[in-house]
Amino acid sequence: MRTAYIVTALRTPATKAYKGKLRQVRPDDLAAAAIKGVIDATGIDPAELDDVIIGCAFPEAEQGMNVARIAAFKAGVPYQVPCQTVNRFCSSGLQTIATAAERIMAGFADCIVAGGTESMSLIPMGGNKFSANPGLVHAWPETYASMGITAELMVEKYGVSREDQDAFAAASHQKAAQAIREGRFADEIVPVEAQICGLDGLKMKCSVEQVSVDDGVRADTTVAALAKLKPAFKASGSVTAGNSSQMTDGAAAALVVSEDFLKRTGLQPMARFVCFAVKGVPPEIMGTGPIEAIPAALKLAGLSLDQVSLFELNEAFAVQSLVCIDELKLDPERVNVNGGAIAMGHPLGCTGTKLTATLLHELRRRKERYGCVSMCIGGGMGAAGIFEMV
Amino acid sequence: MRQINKVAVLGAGVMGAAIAAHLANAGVEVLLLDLVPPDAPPRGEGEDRERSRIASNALSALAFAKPAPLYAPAYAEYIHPGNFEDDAARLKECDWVIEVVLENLEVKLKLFAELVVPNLKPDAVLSTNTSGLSVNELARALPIQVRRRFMVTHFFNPPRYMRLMEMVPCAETDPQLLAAMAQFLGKRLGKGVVYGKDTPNFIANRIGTYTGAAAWRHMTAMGLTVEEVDAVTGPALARPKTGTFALWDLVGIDTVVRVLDNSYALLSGDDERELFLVPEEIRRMVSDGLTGKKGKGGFYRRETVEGESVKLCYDYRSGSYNPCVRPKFASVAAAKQVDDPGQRVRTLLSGGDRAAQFAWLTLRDTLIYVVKRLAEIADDAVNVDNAMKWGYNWELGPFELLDALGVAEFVSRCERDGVALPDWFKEVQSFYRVEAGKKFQYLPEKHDFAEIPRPEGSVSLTLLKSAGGEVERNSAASLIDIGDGVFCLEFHSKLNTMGGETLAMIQKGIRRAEADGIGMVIANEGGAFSAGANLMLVAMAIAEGAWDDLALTVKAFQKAMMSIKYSKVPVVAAPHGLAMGGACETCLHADAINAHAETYMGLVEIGVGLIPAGGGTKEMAIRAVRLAEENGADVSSFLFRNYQNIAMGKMSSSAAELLALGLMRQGDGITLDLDRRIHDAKLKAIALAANYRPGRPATGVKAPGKSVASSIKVQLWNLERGGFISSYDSYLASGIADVITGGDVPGGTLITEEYLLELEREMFLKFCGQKKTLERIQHMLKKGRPLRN
Repeated sequence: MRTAYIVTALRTPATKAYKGKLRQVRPDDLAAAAIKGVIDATGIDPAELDDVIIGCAFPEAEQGMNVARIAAFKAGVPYQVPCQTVNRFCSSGLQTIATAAERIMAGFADCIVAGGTESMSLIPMGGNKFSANPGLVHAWPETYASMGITAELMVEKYGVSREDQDAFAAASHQKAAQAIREGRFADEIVPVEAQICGLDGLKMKCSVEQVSVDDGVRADTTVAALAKLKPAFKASGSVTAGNSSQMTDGAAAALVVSEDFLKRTGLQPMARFVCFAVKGVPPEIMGTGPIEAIPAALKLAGLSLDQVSLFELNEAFAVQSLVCIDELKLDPERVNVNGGAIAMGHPLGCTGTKLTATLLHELRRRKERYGCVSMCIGGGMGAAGIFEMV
Repeated sequence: MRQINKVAVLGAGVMGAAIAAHLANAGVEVLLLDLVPPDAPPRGEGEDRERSRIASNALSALAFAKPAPLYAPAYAEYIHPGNFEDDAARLKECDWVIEVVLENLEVKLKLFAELVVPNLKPDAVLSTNTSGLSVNELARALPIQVRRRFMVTHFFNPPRYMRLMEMVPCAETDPQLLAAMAQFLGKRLGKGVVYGKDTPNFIANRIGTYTGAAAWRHMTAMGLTVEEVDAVTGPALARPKTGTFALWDLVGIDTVVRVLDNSYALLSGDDERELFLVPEEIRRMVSDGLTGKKGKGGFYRRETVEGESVKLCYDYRSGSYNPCVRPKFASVAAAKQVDDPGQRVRTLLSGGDRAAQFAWLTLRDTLIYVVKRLAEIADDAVNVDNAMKWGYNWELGPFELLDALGVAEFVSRCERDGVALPDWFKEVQSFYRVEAGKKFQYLPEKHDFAEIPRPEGSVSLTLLKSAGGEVERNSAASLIDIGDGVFCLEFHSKLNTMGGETLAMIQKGIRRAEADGIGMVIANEGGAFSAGANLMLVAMAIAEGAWDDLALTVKAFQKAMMSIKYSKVPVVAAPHGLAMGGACETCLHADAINAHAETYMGLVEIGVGLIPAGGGTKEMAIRAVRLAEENGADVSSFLFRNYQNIAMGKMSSSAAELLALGLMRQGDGITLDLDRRIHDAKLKAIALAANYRPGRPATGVKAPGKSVASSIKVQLWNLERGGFISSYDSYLASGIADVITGGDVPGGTLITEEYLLELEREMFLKFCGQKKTLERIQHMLKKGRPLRN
């Protein structure tokens, strides 16, 4: 089997749904910015691409019509290059990297852009028309458990306290705030030109701004402030808006290539794609997904846990992250060292690529070897991908 | 009609802001001004908003005030905050300027001289909301040409909810302008106008404070407790539940003291002046901060003892709080059994206990005081009665009460007590008389009756009935000819609940209107439009297992509703106050709704474990499908809204909210003036009659289908898991989802209106067979509030 390499992985800033500066930017345009960012940064000829694969959790409306194709066109990719959209909910953006890598490793392709995009401002969670399967609702309603309820069920099952959840959330904000202060995300972010329009009297005023910073982080939040929030999903519960991931807009993309391609172009890769694993868990405790996925990925990689220096574990909910860290006996010092989705948001289908970008840049900064991206997935799954710096 | 399109409210205190809110409710643009705060930046420096902070903050606070001053939060956009300095020139834009600043003569005079007079538009009205100052004294500061346009417009708090508007002209007020303003205040703002004179505290507060002071005097003399007095001076005396002292707590005891002081200071010629002298005990309460609800407590206080909220009562003798002792009076208990307010008071007074004795003494003194002061404070009896009914929520005004007690009987009992009475009063037989559709009142100075003029555009069913306008009648409802070919269907059962007789009269009324008229209005003059279907009948049928009867009753209800919807003449519903369950369904089946602004309507059946089965669920299903078709959109979002209204038992908090709930539609109307709503509904019926095309039961309706029902059930599963609803809530809501989506069929299956009615009936009977539904019904009947089981 051949080897697949990541030349680079970049992301747009992630800004708050409905309030952030990207709220009026279409997700296909966000994806185009990320794709173009990767093409520009690597200097490849886009005509050389064998495929463009974009992940998206609700591929409809502005994210519909095979959003990968639309985004690729907007990024200046010629029509000869094919495109596909992939949906595995919150792991879509990791799935696209895996799919790209697998095609390259099988020898079917040499150069693929893989990424993800999601505008939670424009497409509601559940889509514009939620329609549940009657037979399944009758026989197994857990299938459609709301994400908040799955978090509360984990609180019940694993006995995680409100205090621990809030402390985890506060730490996520503090780490993210420090990372931003130190400019640690600067290398991985592709600035986006965002237009915001509003009426000023009879004159329409539109401003275009270069957005380059994540806006969800609250540097000043404290455990005490978070403790004041009301439970969001259960009357007597402990999962709040403050200890859950934020709704966010964003896109990300990575260039995945073969060794032949590297030789031919002289490009330097950042990392080697090691492996990807995805596993199923009960849908009503979907947050446990990484507990199954990470060991499966380690087994495929032939690595032991302590060989992995950094984890980007998507913080869907603090409780879910805490349980995964605890059950897998992960070293908290190696998990989400620059904060996570509680502070910076979780743009569903974009997240997998976004976290890969963050992981690879941090591994490079720390001169560490192995890293892992993992997340839980609605409907009851977990995914994990392992990368080795080269 | 005089056009008043923009109003300046000067003073953004609680009252000023609430008045501004009510003007916004009427669709009038408002400039809300107050002082520039002392710490604000000079003009032109810093943010302008800072200089108008007082008004801006008052405007923001409206959203959180309880009870809500605005009909709908979005109406706040009609109010523009500003300040006295920077926005002075904008007064020129206003058709009416109302002053609501501090109750202080100097402050008001200064504001008039410096701000108002130089900036007032030449034909604009200027009024003051003073509750106690002399209008003529205030007028003296004004140039003569402004005095002609000056008057008191005294709102009662809260202005949205209290109907009373006391208007008092100064000596130079233009009578035509006064009348034009009265018309505007009545028609547009829905106020009940009462004309007062330039006497201290005008009418309502003069009598209201006397009544309270008299209660205090007799309470202390008889050694009664605060809670005992409130038990007697509430509904037993045809007054609101707050009685005497709970009302003072609500108003603020410091405010009561201020009004009493004002009365004492100004009423030098009043032979009962001493009564207005504030008792030492009350003065001490105020100085101790015991000013009522807004202070550290008043005559009542809530304290948390061992985690439980306990109500404490003030003992005026010791000056301490003790646990309240629920008064037990046979006379009060007997009175509470009586519906008719006059009869109720008679029952109370005929008792032999201390409560009856106390009730007589305070009522006697109060009524004699009103009789003695009539000519001084008002033009006539009707102004006084209206003031007390609209400003103090008395069920009967003092003169109406005298009629109910019998003036002769009252006089003889007073004489037995040895109390002096004015001679003219002893001659009076009654203060009111109704003859052939006209109402007359006794004018003492003329020793004769005179007709009470009715404003144009008001319909009184009572008067029409007195003139033989009632063409059909049974124990629960009547049909009244309201002229121009329009018949009014009136409910008149207890709480206007709907039973077999009501349904029979609906059918009969429709047939009559079709045969002899051009349209029908459904309206009544009760305390509420209707509490809905008679729950007691449902409970009894369930208890007896009379399922066939129940099925027939539901079918009869549906038939009546369908006869409204598909009558050959237009039907307009004119609800006011509560319109719950079946009453809401009645409105939904009418061609149009002309609601009073204060209409609290909803399909609330789930609260008693039932589904709206008088066509309400069916109607909301068809409306959602039709909206989707009209908009070329998927039915889900329309259906979810309509479903949620039913599954959450949502009630509107104003008629304006009914549009957002989808219970009223474009073209339906809202009337602010309670007395005009039937007239307005009649106009609507006449307009619809011009080219009326009767409908027919819907066929070919695309069922939303079982996938939509399943999507709803997913939400229910999550809500139940989240502890927001009980498993029985979820069971009921699932059943409602099954009916409103057209049964267990694929989306798009063609169904009919009759089939949806059948689904409603089946689900209704299924729910009736559930133990927990019976528990919900029984709880509602016993306690008057829903049970969550």
